Amino acid sequence: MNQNCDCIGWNRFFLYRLLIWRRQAPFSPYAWSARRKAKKSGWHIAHCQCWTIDVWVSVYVWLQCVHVTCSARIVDVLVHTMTSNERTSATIAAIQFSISFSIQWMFAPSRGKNWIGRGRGATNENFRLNRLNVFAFLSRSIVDRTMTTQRLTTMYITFILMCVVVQHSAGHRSDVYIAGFFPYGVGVENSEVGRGVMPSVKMALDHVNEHTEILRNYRLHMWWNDTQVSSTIRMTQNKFSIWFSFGAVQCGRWCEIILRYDAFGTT
Amino acid sequence: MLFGAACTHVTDPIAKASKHWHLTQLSYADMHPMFTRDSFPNFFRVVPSENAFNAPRLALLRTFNWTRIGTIYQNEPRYSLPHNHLVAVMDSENITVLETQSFVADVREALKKLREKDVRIILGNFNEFWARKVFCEAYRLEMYGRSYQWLIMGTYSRNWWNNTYDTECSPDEIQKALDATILTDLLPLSTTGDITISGIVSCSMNQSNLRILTVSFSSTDGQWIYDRI
Repeated sequence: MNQNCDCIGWNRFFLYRLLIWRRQAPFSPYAWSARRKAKKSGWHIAHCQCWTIDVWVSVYVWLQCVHVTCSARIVDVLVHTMTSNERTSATIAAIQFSISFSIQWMFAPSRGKNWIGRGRGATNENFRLNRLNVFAFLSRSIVDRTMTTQRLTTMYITFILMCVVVQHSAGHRSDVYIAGFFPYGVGVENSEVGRGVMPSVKMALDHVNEHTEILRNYRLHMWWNDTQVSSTIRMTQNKFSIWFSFGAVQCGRWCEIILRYDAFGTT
Repeated sequence: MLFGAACTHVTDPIAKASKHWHLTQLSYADMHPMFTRDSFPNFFRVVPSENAFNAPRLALLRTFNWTRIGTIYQNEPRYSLPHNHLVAVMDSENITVLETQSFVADVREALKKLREKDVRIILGNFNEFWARKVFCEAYRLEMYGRSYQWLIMGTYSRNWWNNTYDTECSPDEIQKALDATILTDLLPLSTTGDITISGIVSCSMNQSNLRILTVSFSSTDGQWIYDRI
C-alpha cells in the first residue's frame, strides 16, 4: 500500500456518503467532486493500491450509468409512446421522478454539512469552486430540509425500479421509415395499381403500429412520392430534347433514367 | 426500407442503388424477370416473377398431354427471359418445340410461320397491346377455334380485348379469336379460408378493405399488400 493512500479515510468517505450522512443523497456527483478536490489538496490517491477504493468508485460509476441510461430510456419512451393510452400513466410517473431527481442533484447538499466541509483537505476556496455546491447554497432556502435522505433514497430506488418496469412494459420502439414509390396521378401508367396499393399500405402500417403483438418494438412510418412513371419521363424527354441533343444538361441519374427509358420493354 | 415500385422504369434504378446501401426493397407490382435473387439480393416482391408462370403452363401441357407446341413472344427482355426459361425446361420434359417465333413490329409473319409448321398448341408471351394485335391477326389467319389452343399471359387489365383502338379488328372479332384461350394470372385473393396473420380470413379482408378503398381503384392489389405488410 502506498504511503500517501488513506484507504481507511476513503472507505469512511464512501460509507459516509452511502449510509451515515442523512442530509445528502447517497449517490451523487458530489462524491466525485469531493474526491477530485481532496486529491488537489494533498490526497494523492492516484497511486493508491487500495482495492476498496476501486470497488467504491466502480459502484458509484455504475449507479451513475444506470441513472443516465434510465433517464435516456424514459425520454425515449416519452417521445414514442405518448399516443398510447395504456402507457400514459407510466410516462407521467417518469416525468415526476425525473423532476424530483433533477432537484436532488442540484439542491441536495447544504453548506457546512457536506463531506467536504468536514473532511480533510477541504477549504472554503475549493468549496466555492464546486458548481453544484454553489447551486445548493443558492437554492437552500427553496428546498431547505424538505427532502430527507430516506425520502430521496426511496425515490431513487423507485426510480430505478420504474425504469425497469417501463422498459419492459412499454418497450423501446425503434422508428422504421419506409420510402414508398407509387404511380398515383391520373393518366399515369399503372396508376390504378398505385392508387389501390397506397391506402392499403397506410392501413396496414396503422394496424401494425396499433397491434400489441406484431412488431411491438417498432413504429413504422412511410414517406411516399408519386413516381409518375413513364409519363413524366416522356414529358421531360420531349421538353428538354433539344438540350439533351446538345449535351447542355448535366442531370446525372435523372438523365440516365430518361436515356434508359424503355430499355426493358415494359410499355 | 424501400417500398416499390410498380414499373420497371422506377424499380430498376432504385434496386440497383439500394443494393449498395444494403437497403431492403419490396416491390408490390413489378414482375420483371430480371430481378433475380442472385442479382438483387436485397430485392423482394409480393408478386411472382414472369418466370413463375412457366410451372403452371408446363403442368397444363402435361395434364392434356400436349407434347408438340410452338411459341411466340415479344422480343423484349421482359418476355424473352421467361420464354427462354420455358423452352429450356420443356427440353427436359420431352415436349417438342416445333417453332419459336419472336416479333418486334410485325406479328403477321410470325403467325404465318407457326401456321406453316402446323403448330396447334401456341404459348404466347407478350403484353396487352401486342395481345390485341396477335389475336387480331390470328382471327384473320383463322388460327383459332377447335383446331388451336392458345396459352398466354393473363396479367392484363380488365376487359383488355375491348380496347381495340390500336387494332384493325373489332372487339367481337378479337373475342372470337380468344375463345377457349387459357390465360395464366395471379390469384388475387386466397381461397383457402385460412386465418391470416391479421386474425381474419381473406373474405373478411375483402370487405374491410373495400370500405376504405371507396373509390375502388385497385382493391385486389391492396389486399396483397396489406397481407404482406
